[in-house]
Amino acid sequence: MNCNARHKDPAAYPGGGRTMGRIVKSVRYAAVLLGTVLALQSPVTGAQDVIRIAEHRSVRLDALRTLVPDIERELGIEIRVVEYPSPALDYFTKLVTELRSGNAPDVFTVPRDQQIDDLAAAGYLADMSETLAAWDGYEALAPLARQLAKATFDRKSYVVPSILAVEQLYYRKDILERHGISTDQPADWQDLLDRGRAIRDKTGHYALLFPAGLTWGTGAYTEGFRHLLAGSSDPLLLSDAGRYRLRSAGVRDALEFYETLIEEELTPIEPLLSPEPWIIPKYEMFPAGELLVTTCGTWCVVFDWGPNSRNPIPDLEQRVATWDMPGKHGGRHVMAALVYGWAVNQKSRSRVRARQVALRLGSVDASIAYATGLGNVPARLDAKEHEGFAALVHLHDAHAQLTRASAVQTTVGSSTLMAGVARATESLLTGREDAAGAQELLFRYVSNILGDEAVEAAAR
Amino acid sequence: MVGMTLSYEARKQLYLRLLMAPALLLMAGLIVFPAFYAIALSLTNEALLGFAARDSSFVGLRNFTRLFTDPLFWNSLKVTLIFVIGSAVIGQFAFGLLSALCLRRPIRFKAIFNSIIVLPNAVPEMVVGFIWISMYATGEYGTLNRIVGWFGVEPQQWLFSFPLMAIIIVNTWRGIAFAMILLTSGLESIPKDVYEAAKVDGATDRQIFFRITLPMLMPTIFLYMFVSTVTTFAIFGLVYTLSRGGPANSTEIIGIYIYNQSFTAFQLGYGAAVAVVSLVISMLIGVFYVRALKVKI
Repeated sequence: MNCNARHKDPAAYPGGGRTMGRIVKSVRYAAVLLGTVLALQSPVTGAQDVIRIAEHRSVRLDALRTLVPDIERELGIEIRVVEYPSPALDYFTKLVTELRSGNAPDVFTVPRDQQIDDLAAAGYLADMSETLAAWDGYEALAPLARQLAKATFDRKSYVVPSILAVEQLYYRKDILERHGISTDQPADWQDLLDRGRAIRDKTGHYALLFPAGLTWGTGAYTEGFRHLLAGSSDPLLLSDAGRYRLRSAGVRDALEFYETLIEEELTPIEPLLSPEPWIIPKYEMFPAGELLVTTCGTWCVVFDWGPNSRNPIPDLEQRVATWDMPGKHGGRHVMAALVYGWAVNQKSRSRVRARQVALRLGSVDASIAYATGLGNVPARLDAKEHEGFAALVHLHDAHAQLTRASAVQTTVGSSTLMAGVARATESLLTGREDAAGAQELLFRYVSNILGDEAVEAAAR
Repeated sequence: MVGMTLSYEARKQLYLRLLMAPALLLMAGLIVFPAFYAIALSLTNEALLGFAARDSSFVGLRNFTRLFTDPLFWNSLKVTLIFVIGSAVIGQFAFGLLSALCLRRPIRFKAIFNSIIVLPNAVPEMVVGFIWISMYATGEYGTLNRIVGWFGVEPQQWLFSFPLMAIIIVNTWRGIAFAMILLTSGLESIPKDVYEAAKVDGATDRQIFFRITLPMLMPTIFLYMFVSTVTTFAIFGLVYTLSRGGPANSTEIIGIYIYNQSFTAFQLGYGAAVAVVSLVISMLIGVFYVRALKVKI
């Protein structure tokens, strides 16, 4: 028997040789198919002229879509709007994961100024300093907007400011007046708390809401804690060396204020522990007159309670008014935040074009398009001369306050800080900690994550 | 001849290995590599934000030290344990067995009953979450509140007042079908003549169930327990949709805790450390079922 001959003869082993042949053929086909797919996926010349913009929430998407045709025409580019999930937290999470993986859009917004440091330190944001310095709109920006567009660790600008949120205490003027409760500006924290007690005792409703807890996310810091810290006995959150001062008297003051609200049942607790904690107090209780004072920004009079909102308050301007946030021992302040500043992806293949798009989105007409739907105010002071802004009467006062508004400075690690504040305030809501315990919890959480070098150990 | 036989065997082996290669490659790429990558990640301060996102560094066991001193981690383990025992070990198993026993009898509209039980398992878990959000909705328009309202009960905030029980009920509802299908196949495998012999010997229904059905169903029960415990341990979407782990971490199962650490606090290294501990616990559960109970799978 010729073993070799039989070995080579495919017919001697039915199916064996044919099968191998089929496998080799299949591998060839697969390689050709893979090559074709890869060729189709690879960048082609001309793709640089397509700029992708990340945007979320229907109001913002609508505003952007009205602006895109003009920008495309002016810059001779094609813009693709990439729709992101609506809730701010989901938007930010998706954005960060895509920035990390290198496939994020060319232009996107940074929801809050506090997040600029963390994104810039991670290397996700293109430096906009020179672009902004050469921009004719730069000097027209509110000084606070220019300041908040910079990262604290290198003093470079990373976003084009478009709109700002001006935040104060909003109260139900109609109900307070009906019950004979003073509507004068509270002089200090004690006065504000006394007003809250009067509201509780005379109306039987909740008096004061300062966002808190884990599910409110960054809002526990941005819409709650920082208002208190700014008016505390020690408002500086950073030391001269740029370290977080979490054992300061100011942090303790703020947490003690929360503690008082909770202990004296001045604030609703259950809704703050629900999955979407803003819905019941902001969208239901305040319009229904079951919560009478809350921190909020200019967006509330449009987005939360305006005529096109889910639960509009009729005759809003007569029924709702604002107080400045009083300080612990007197004084008063208006907080502002740079929201949704336009940033450029450091890994964008078309950074020059993307920067032009970002600047265009910082123009007055673009910021008014956004302000109209969202209720925030344009970051540029010259917006007041724009005819589109004349129609936004409800925003004029807030816009005028930009020159006196302030903010609490944070630095790299602000995301951790905000998560820590959410935890600390949640521990107060659940009664697991008192103010001292919550402060220690905040300190340990932040120092555990950022390292001891990022946090002042002593109460200085 | 020997050489030729080996050659044939070699070809056959090569052929079989080639057939297995895609599956093995997928497992290596999607299961084994990520597991080892997670272990490596857990030893760093890797983050999605801040300087650590650009230049992460080796931190040894710091993440694990932090984890074991974090009360929220222990809370999530406790919540997960209650969730797994409540929904998979008790709820799904009890109702699955009951359904399997009932539907073994000749009843009218059997196919319809089968479909009703299987349907929840066919719905994606996010959709299930949204359906039950509507069921548990607060105020008088929530479906459950309307039902209890017929009996004069005031509207409740179900996901606030009974959060853990609420998610256990949803997961039980969703998982009955899997238990029923597996236990039905187990019941079908028990020889009929054993029952006939028992009846001839005068055994009661109760005796038949406890002395024949249950013991002979044990391998299937353990198989079910193994699969359902491990899969329930890894649940994420259903609970995230319903409660996001709240209120006050009362439904923060381990999957949610990992997500929150990795993608809300953006601490990938720490999140990976929790995932590694979760993996070890899952493996221990597997070893417990497979080895300690001497069940051959």
